[in-house]
Amino acid sequence: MNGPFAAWRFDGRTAEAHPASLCIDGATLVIESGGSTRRVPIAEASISERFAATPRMVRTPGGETFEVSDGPGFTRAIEAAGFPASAVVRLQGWGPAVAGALALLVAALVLAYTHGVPAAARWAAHETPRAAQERLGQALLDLLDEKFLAPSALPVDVREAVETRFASAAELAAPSHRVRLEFRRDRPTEPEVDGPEPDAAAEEDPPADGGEEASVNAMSLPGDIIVLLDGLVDVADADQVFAVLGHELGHIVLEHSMQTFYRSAGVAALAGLAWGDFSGVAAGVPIALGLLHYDRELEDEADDFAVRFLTIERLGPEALCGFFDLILELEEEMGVDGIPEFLSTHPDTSDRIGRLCPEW
Amino acid sequence: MTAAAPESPPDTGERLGLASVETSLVFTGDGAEYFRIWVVNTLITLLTLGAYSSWAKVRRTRYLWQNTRLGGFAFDYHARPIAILRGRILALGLFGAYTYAFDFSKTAGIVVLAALCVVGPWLFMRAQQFKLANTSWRGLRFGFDGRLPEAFRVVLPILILWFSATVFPVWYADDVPVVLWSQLAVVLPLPWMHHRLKRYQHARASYGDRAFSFAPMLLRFYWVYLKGTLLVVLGGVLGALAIAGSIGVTAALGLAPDAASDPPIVAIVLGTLFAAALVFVFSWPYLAARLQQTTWSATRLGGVRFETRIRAWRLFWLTLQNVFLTVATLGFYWPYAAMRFAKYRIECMTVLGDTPFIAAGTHSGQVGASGEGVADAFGLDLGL
Repeated sequence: MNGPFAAWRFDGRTAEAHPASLCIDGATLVIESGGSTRRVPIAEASISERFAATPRMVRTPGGETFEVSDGPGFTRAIEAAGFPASAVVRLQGWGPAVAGALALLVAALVLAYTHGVPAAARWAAHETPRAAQERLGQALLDLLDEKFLAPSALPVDVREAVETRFASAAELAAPSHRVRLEFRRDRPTEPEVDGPEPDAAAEEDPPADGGEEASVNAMSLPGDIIVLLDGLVDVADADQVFAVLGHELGHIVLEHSMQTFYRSAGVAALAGLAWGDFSGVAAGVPIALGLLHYDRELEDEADDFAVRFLTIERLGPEALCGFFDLILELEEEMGVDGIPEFLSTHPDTSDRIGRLCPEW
Repeated sequence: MTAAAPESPPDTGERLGLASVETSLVFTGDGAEYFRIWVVNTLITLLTLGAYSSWAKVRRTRYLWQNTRLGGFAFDYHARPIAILRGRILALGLFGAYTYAFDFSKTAGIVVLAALCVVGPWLFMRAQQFKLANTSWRGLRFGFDGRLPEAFRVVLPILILWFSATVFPVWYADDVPVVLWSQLAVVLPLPWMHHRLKRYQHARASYGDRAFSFAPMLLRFYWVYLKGTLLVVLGGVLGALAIAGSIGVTAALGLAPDAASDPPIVAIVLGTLFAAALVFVFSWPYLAARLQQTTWSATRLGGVRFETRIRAWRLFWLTLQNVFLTVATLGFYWPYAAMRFAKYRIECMTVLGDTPFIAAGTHSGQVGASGEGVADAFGLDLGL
């Protein structure tokens, strides 16, 4: 017999507190209150979780609640009677387990970020119906047309030359995709060409200085759409344009824009799980930095695809590297400081050249 | 006035005859203990891809409530995790639809908004019901006497105003007057929206058979928000100075020679984050403290009043420390911070009654079980 423990009895219908005392006799609670004694099997009572400084709440099948003031003492007695706390509660109470859980938590977060989310995004992108992808891409293109882009001003024969050369190579490199090549130019009147680009994998884009310079840019959208801007065709030679289109085709074949879409959702969910206790503002920082890292990874994958694509016309990676070199020159001309890699959606341009053309 | 010593054993009979009783809330939650709970909760939540979050939520809330005592008696929380899980799956679906619908088409977006307007008020009401019906003190449950027509009257205008202000700019980004109007439409009615929701929450709450009441405080809400806005501006100015300063330092150190004319992105990004933190640290404590005080000063439970002796500058100091330590530890200080916030904000509250508060609900305090039963079957906790 363990106890007695002083408690307050509540009937659940009024707020009145009646003094009571609880004893533990084997596997039975012996409850004394108002001059009468009752016996309730511990297994039939519902007992609140143990915390360091809280009372224990004991609910009997009859709907009464007993608030036992000496929580820790009652806890010891209950556990001595053969009713241990749940596994999770014991885990919480044991220092080494908590330290292990902490290490596991950090490891799980890192692994989920480096492997879990990308794998899930790849799967989800692959499973997304084509019709949905085409709709999404069309909606994005409409939005871009409405706000930032205008019809291309390139001569028809230039466009046809680019398109024919690309289409015949794309048929070999990606037979299962019907790629739509859309020619556009950025609107000269708009001073800001930041673009919403929620999931468009944007190509090199030196900030258009007050809108005077045409953007040297190409992008891929869901639903096998490639948008090519006049500015790029103007400054790059035919092989370089071909190489950039190969890079964008890489985004399409590897389903990058849908993956980016799902990855952003995945990272948001991960941050929400880990820091769900406090609100989204704090979780936003790791999300933003984390997504930038993913984008750079995808750019490298698309670069590798472009190098393979170039071999169709027996071209080496030099065509792509030549384009990157052009970008570097343009950046220098415009006085753009190199954006530090961890804050950029693209790998550092010189690093890309170094990776693809080591002898450059 | 007799301030009840928190440790003294609760004694119903002795206090019944007193004319006025002042009872403080006591919070015994401990950062180190909550840290353990938090680590285990978060780990299991992560490993179960979020499914455990409902169990985690129940454990966390129980920890908070059972460590909160009024007159020596602890509060308790009774929600069933599975009901919360159901609610969260529904909320996740709605949130996902709201986030991504406009990426597909305007029509899909409008359909989702319309659906939210229809379901939103009902959800809000259910969430209140669920939260209060699952909270008890002295064995007696709280309750929320929400009715659907009233829920729509209260919540629908807020939803419509909010959506019109947040969705319009997406369509009319080029149209400056529309964007300006929509910004004003979010900012100006914000105190009104907040007041409207608080009034609904507090005026329809009950404890046992006793109903809470809420005296409108709209002007006071606007006054608090006005002062809070000034603090936002102050934080913004200091933040701008901090950005300018960080750029200046980079330039002075020669890290980026032309930093002053062409600031490096790192300085801008870090400066902006720092500025956002400053705005939060400056304005949130004041707004939180004064709104808590105002809301509870307007609330009554029969003859029982609530007083909040909270000091904005103390909450400011606490926030400063908590934000700094949480950022410095990459978030791992959070459980300690949460307990410090809870302790201060709970313990500054006092319950005053002409008749002892503990007598409330004593007589014929029948709990209407029907409505609460429904809430329990479809638990919602939206953190509103």
